[in-house]
Amino acid sequence: MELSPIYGLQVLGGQNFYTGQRNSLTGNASAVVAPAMKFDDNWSLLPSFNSAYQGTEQVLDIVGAGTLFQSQWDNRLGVKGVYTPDDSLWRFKPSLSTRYEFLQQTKDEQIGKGLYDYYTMDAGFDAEYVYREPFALRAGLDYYQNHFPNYTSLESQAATSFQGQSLARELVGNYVLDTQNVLLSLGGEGPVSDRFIVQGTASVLYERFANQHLVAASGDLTSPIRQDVMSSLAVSLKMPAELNSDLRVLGSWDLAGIYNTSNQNSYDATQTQFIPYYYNYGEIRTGPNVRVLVGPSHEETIVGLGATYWYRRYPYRQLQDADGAYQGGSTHMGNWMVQGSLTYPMAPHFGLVFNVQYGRATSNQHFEEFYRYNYTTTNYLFGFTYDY
Amino acid sequence: MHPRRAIFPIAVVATLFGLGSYAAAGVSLTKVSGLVQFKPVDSEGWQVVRTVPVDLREGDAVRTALRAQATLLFQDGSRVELAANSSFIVDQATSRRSTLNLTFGALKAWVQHLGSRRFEVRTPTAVCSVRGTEFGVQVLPGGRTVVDLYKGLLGVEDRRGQQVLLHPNERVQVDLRGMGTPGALPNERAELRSRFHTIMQREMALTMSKEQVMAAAVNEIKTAEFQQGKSLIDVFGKRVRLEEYIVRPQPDQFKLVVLNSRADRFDYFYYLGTFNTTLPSDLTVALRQINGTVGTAPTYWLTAFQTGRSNTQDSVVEMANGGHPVDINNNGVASDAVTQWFDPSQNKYVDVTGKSVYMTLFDNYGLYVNGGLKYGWTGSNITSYASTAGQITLASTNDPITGAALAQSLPARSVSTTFPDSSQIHQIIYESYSDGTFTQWDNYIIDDQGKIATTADFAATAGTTYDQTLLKFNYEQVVTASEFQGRKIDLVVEPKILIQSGLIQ
Repeated sequence: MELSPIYGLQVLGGQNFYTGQRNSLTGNASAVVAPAMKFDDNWSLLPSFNSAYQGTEQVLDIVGAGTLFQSQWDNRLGVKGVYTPDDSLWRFKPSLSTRYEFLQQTKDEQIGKGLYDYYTMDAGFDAEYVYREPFALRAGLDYYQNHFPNYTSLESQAATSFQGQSLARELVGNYVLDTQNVLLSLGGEGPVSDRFIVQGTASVLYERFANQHLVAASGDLTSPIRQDVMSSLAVSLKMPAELNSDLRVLGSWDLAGIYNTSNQNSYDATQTQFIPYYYNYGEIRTGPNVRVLVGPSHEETIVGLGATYWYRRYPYRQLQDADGAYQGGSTHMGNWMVQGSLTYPMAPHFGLVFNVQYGRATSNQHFEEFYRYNYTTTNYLFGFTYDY
Repeated sequence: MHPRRAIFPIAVVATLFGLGSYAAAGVSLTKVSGLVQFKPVDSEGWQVVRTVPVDLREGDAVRTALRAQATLLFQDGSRVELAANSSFIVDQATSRRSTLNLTFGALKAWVQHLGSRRFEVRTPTAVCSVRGTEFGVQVLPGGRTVVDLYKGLLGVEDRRGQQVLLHPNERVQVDLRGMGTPGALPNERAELRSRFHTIMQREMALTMSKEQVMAAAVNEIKTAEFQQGKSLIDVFGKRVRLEEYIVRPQPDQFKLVVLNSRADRFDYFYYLGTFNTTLPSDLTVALRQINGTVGTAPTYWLTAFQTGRSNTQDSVVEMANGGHPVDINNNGVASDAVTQWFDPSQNKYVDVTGKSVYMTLFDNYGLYVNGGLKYGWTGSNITSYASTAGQITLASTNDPITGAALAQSLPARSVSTTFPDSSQIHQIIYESYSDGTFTQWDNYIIDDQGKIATTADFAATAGTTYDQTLLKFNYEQVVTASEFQGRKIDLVVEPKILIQSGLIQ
């Protein structure tokens, strides 16, 4: 048996600015340990452990802030087998993994008791056809469950009667955010002409909310449970260029589309407004990226620039004025982000990192009492990274 | 047939070495392992090699798949082994010269030293001219060429004509920039380990890519929670979970329930309305009239209502029945006429001076703290609440709702309203009773960050504009009473609910 460890460590500190307000200096850290094992020409095993602590929000995290955020800690433990039959282009990969995310959102909330803490248990299988190393086509199927251990609906807690009357609706569920999921994913990459590589992925995710019943137009709950299907398609056109062994450029243009369909509705009790298919949305995302690598492999200086624009529309969510009154129409959002990064090598596999991001979000939605749709945000991070 | 080009095509500069004569030469594919294909020069498609030997001509191409190998044998006894995931074209195969164009991948060659015969391996960036050697050539993405020499001597030339002579157990890399510096061959075992490492790093990247899809779906679930306002910060800086929903107990009833949850407490508010007729499925139709109508009498009106506030231990309940619509601007009592009225269809206050305004008045009302009556009144077909109208009788010995006799007469009630901080919208309504008990209502107007609104936020507002500004904030009410024994009821609700229901006038 041959052991080939993969490991990495990144420690960064930084600040986030939200609509001009500066948050305090905080830190991010991440580590990965994966002792890859090769048993023979057919079998390999890849156990891995990832842990990432985030004290500084990234621009992409701030989807409508004014959302609460203090810190987030992600941990993932997994094992993946890679089986390559003799004289075959195929690779078969069964996998198991579990992930736990701790999310602290208010000052009085402790790590480990966050309202939106969740864990995932996943079992999957992938098949890959390596038609020309390193290019391949792959398909995968995963079954996994998400559980929010600290989140139960308040209505399920208030089911006891008051003054001889029940305060909860029939069919009220408790762990209403928990899901059972099936993910089908496809992917592949290949050269297109002499200069370009195209990479594509497609996925269909089915989510079943076993404890969440559908809301009817009257505001009551009905027997059917919520089911969502999220479909996504992404294409990336890459242009790697090796001008010499000490100068490499990787340019790319990414394009992705997502559509989520859900049978769940929403009922705004204060406005007595029924909103069908509340969770449906469509999104398109695109943008260029370029990375310039200067220097020998594993000791290069890397300069990165990127921009992303994404547009999302909720076709069934009516616009609301600043007071919350419904106006008709549908809600849409347009966000864009630019980022720059610099990695400077101090030693083989070890470098200093500086990263800055700027984002701007706009929307035609004017009701922002609970959730901000229009804002700007900036963040910067600096620190070091080591990977092997 | 045009030579197949690598991803980064580079013009190849040929070199010439003087070589002796040689007998007629050919090249054959003599051994295959795994999936090996070849494409004849006059054919468009690749053919799987199933039987050997296969004679190759100039222009023929051969390629190997993952974990495959192919062996070529030249008539002079020279041998070339093509590695997995590799491809070459036979550029030339004569008695005097053999040239292989390695487009990608790697090969290893054992070349006989035979006089003036020339043997070359070309790559996108280099030309290797060999004479009696054992060597390997690898073309990497980008055209970079790695040449390893195991035995003999090997001349390598780059595009600019720079040449280097490799000695046994030496390696040189050639790229677009030119010739590298020859160095010692690395350990083969180390190379295999490095390749395995690269493959495993790629597997990690594929795994993380799928994890991102899963994590993104979870983030959508959380985002929707925030968008629906299910999590706020109260005036004390703590998270408040908020859920509001409608319950339909009876066909002519609706109940709005507001639940507040914090780390250490659970409070709720409900409003139960009973109407004069069966309610439609769309409550908006009826609730638009809950606060009254302008001009014409309403179709839907409340005949009774009940509100409740509780921290699961203590409670404050209001009950009222005998509701009926009254045109209060034409009821013969000038003191209760209204000039502003909240129009739900416009979500704002409008001027109704001189217009008929139908509002629901209740003949009987009772306020209960922990089940005990504190205050109430009775009446019959009341047309005005004004004291000058003299139509209501304050409860004293009987329950105004049930009519049951009270154990003892109700104590006298005194109400005072104060603003402890003149710069903040924090109102205290203190109800004191002659039996020494009290009920205190601390009403806060707070923003979505939990900060108390200031008078500056309401500067230059009054009447309609004051109430309009009020709609932009949240309303937090803290109720304490002597019966609560130090506890409190702490609720965050939208003021619109209270304005619409008439609880805020």
